[in-house]
This record gives sequence, structure tokens and C-alpha cells, in this order.
Amino acid sequence: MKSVKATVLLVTIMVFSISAVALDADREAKRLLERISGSKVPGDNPLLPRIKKHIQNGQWHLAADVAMEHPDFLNITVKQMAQKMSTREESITAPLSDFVATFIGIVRDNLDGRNLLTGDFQYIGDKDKAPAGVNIRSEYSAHIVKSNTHYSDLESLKLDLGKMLMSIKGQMILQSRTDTVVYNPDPAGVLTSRAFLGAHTTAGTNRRPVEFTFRQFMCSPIEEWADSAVSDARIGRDIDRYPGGDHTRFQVSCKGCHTVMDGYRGAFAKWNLTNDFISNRDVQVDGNGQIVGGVEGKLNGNGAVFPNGFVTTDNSFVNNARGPANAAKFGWRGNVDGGYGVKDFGRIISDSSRFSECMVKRVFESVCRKKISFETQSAYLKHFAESFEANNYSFKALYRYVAVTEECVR
Amino acid sequence: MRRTIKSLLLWGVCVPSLMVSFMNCSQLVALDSSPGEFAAIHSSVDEQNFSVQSAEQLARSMASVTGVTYVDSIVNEYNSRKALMTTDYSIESVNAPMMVSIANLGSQYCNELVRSESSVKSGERMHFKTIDFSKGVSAVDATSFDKVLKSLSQKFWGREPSADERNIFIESKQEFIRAIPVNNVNSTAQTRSLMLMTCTSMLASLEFILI
Repeated sequence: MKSVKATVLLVTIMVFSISAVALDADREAKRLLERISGSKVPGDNPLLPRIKKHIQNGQWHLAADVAMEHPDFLNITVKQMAQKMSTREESITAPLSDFVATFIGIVRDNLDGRNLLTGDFQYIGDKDKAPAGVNIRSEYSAHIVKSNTHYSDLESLKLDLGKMLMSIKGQMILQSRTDTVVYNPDPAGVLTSRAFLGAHTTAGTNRRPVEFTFRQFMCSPIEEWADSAVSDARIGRDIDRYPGGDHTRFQVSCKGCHTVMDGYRGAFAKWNLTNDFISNRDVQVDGNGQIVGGVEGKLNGNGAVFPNGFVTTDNSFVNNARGPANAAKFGWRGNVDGGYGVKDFGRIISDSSRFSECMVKRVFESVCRKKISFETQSAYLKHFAESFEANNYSFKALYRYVAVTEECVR
Repeated sequence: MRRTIKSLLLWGVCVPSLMVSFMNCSQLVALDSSPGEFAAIHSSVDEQNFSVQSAEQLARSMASVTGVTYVDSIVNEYNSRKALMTTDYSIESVNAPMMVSIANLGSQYCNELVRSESSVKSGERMHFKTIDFSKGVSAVDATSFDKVLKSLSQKFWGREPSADERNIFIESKQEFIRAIPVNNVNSTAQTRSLMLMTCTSMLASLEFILI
């Protein structure tokens, strides 16, 4: 009883014990470092004096630069942003993967952010940098291409990803019949990572990688870019034009999404997830050692539903998101009519103004840890998207500016 | 064994109440609100958003402020508790199982901290210089306890404890001692438990878990 009384007393006192301590430069420095690193730091962290000095001089951006030297900027803030984008669940608890590692590497090495969707490289862990006693399984075929084992090992709390990751030129995928690892013929940054294609080409009809590319890198869910006014010539045979015997339902409910989505879908026509590894038709061989080529059968599955629908024969695609509303929203640049394969698709996406605005949104939400909306804060997003592009699509520059704005801190 | 369980039960009651208590809503950074310019912070205001740390954030934060490196007991605790931690940073996501999980994770770091400091000479310690771990809890006088509070608070919260916060800890300490059976007052294990409770309360407080 005494214990309960004491606890109630304590809680009562504590509720009213909120203290108001004026912030000085020391505390401001600590808060900035914690915001950017995503972790609490002790008051004697060696970065704090430098951050404080810049703050006292009013040089907040330089202070942010110093804060980004904290290893948890990559290990937590950037990592969790990438984790959320890497799978269907969109959760910060998604496992470390080739997608996440490559995202972290692009930020760490200050590469052009468009490499996220076009790069012909990937990041893996350097097992020689692991501390004693930590085993990183790194056999390319078994632990990277056929499973996520390598990245699961890397996710140990004991490891600093900023130090462990190294860039590997080219992306490797499996030629299953020969069980050999070969170069990806259609590399497109994280879009052709095992994690992304594994999440979005498993089962289904390869429409999901299009949907999630727009969702993650254009911050635009499918209902926002549906457009019934553009051509339906690319809509596949598996889509019923008379659902329930009513063509109007197709026109009203189905067509808008499928005009755009099916237009792009060809980009992923050669990709699939098979037995836990991603495969591309242009590297798979038949019993005679000849390249299989062609497209995945699921692109043309259920052909009897509407036999006059589009038949996919290669990895060409067309950009049907160019109606007036979508053109204004996405801000296409350069040759955006269409192309072949995921790399062309990634180029068109990453060159758009919307990609830059979306990356501002991602960075804002990762470092400020709250939502920002295109509807109410478009001026902010556009302003920093221009800054992102002016700084060669540098994510570090974006973090530097976004993390110290009023909109972020309040 | 029974004594240990009793003292653990006691701090099981104390920690949750302590951990929700310390939330320093201090003045925070102010910013240039010039329309359309999105300029950087330049002065002080009293408004700032907070978010709840995820499991990985907490683990790295706790390691950072305690200086404790990852040992198996911490990794095991982390792995068994991480599913209960926030996945969206939202303050609305905080619930009782999450708070208990954070306290449990924090206790592992604190246990390691107390273990390592109690095994070296007082001059080599960071936080518990004034504590004689070879004596019972009655030897922990007000002055030595206050120094521990200040040291932990500076390291974990980046500031001194307020007078109210200090009083809360002092009352908790007294309550802790009162609950110890008379024949167990001189147990050195109780001294370690008191330090464990104090450390865990700070590490699992809202002041610490919000960022």
C-alpha cells in the first residue's frame, strides 16, 4: 500500500515537474546532431564543439554538415528511409537488403541521386572490415544473389554500415541453368535490386513494379495518376473490357489506371522472381546453351479474357502519363515518349521534376520524422527540389538544407 | 534469490512511473519565418516536434550514451523486444508493452554499465565514482547519490536533473531502501540494484526515448 501511495505521489509530482531550461548553443548543437543522426548522443560527443561553433556563427548548414559525420546518420536516418521504400510493407523494420545498402552507399559517396534508378553498380559489405568475431557470409551466388544472407549478417548492431559498405561495379544476377552469376543486362539502380524486384515481381503480372516505382520515387499512388483520356492500346489481354458485362465499368473503374500502368509494364517484361532469385530472360539459357530471350509468360497470361488486348513481345514501353494533369504533376524532361527496359524507365522517372520533389519529401520525412504534403507544402518541396538538382542531386546537400528549416524543426 | 526478486519487483513498479516523468519541454530552436524563403534557424523559440525512437534508434542511442558495447544479453533482449517498438515514430504509437520493452532493453545496458563500473576502482569509473559497491545500500548517502544522478543525467539527457526530478529520485531511493528486508540491508547486491534502477529510469524516460 505504501508503495502504491509513493508511486502515485511520485507520478503527481512528476507531472508538474516539467522544467523549462533555456536552450543555449550547447543544447541546440545536441538537438541538431540528434535530429540528423536519429539517435541520442552524450553531451561530450566529439562532434558537438564543431557544431556549436558553426551555430554560434549562424552557419547552420555547416553545422548540419558536421552532424552528418555521425555514423548513425547513415546507420539510422538514411537506412530507415531506404527500408521504408524497399518493400510492399513500407516499414522501417524491413530487412537490410541490396536496395537499402545501395541507397546508403549513394548517399555516403555523394553520388548523383538519379543513380538510384539508373546506376549500374551495387553495394555490398566488405567482410574484411568486420570486427573480430563477426562473420559476414559473402559468397556471391549463395548469400547475395540467391538469398539475403549477406545483408542479414551485415545488419548486426555491431556493424557500422558507413564503414562496411563498398561499391561493386555492375549488378550480378543468376543464370539458373548453369548456376553461374552473370552481369545484369538491364541494370537500373535499386529498381533492379533483388529486394525491389523480389517484392514486386513475385506472382502478379509485373504491374506492381510500375506502381511501386511511382509510389516510392514519385510519391504518387496509382489513384493520383490514373488517366482515362489517354490511349488504351497497351492494356493487356488479361483485363476484362466488359467486367460484369458492362463496358462502362471498364471505362470508369479500370481503364484510367491501366492506360498508364500497362503502358510502362513492358519495361519489366523480362523480369521475374523464381525460387528466391530474380531472373532476366536475356541471360537465361535453354538446354542448348542458347539465350531464352522473349518475355515472361505472365505478361500475356489469361489471354482469353480479352483476346484483342495488347500482346507483349519485348521490353518496350510507352509513357502514357503525359495527359495534361500528369504532365504538370510529373514535369517530364528530355525524351519521355518511351523506351526499352527498366534502365530507360528509371531514366525517365529520375529526370522528372517530380522525382526531385519526391526525394525532398523522403528526406524531410526521414530527418524531421513527420509528414509533409504535396497539397499544402508544394512551395517548400519545389524550392528544395530545385536546390537538390542544383547540387547535382546530392542527398547530403538536401539533408543539409532541409534539416535546419523551420518546417522541419517545428 | 528471493531478495533479488523482491528488489527487481520494486524497481519494476518504480521504473515505469519514473520513465514517463522526465520530459523536458525546454525552449527550443526558433526559425526565420520569412515567407517563401525557408531560411535556416537563427534564434530560439519554444516549440518543437518530437518523435519516438524506433528499436534500432534506441539500441544505438543507449549504446552511445552508456558507452556499453553490444554483448549477447543486449542483442538477445533487442531481438526479443524490437517487434514491440514503434515503426512510425508516432507518439500515438506508445503503449504499455512498448514502455516495458524499452525499460527492459535499457536495463540490459544499465546492468552492463553497473557491472563494468563496479568491477573497477572508483577513480576509474565514469558515473559511480562515489558508490562503494562493497557495502550495503545504507552506505549510499545523499551526497554520493546526488553525484550519480548528476553524472547520469548529464550523459543521458545532456543536462542536470531539475530540483523536482532530483527529489523524485531521492524519494524512489528511500522507498527502495524501505522495501528491503532488514536482514538484507547490508547486501551489496542491493547497492547494485539501486544503481540499476536509477540508471534504467533515466534511460527509459520519455526525455530519452523522444527525439
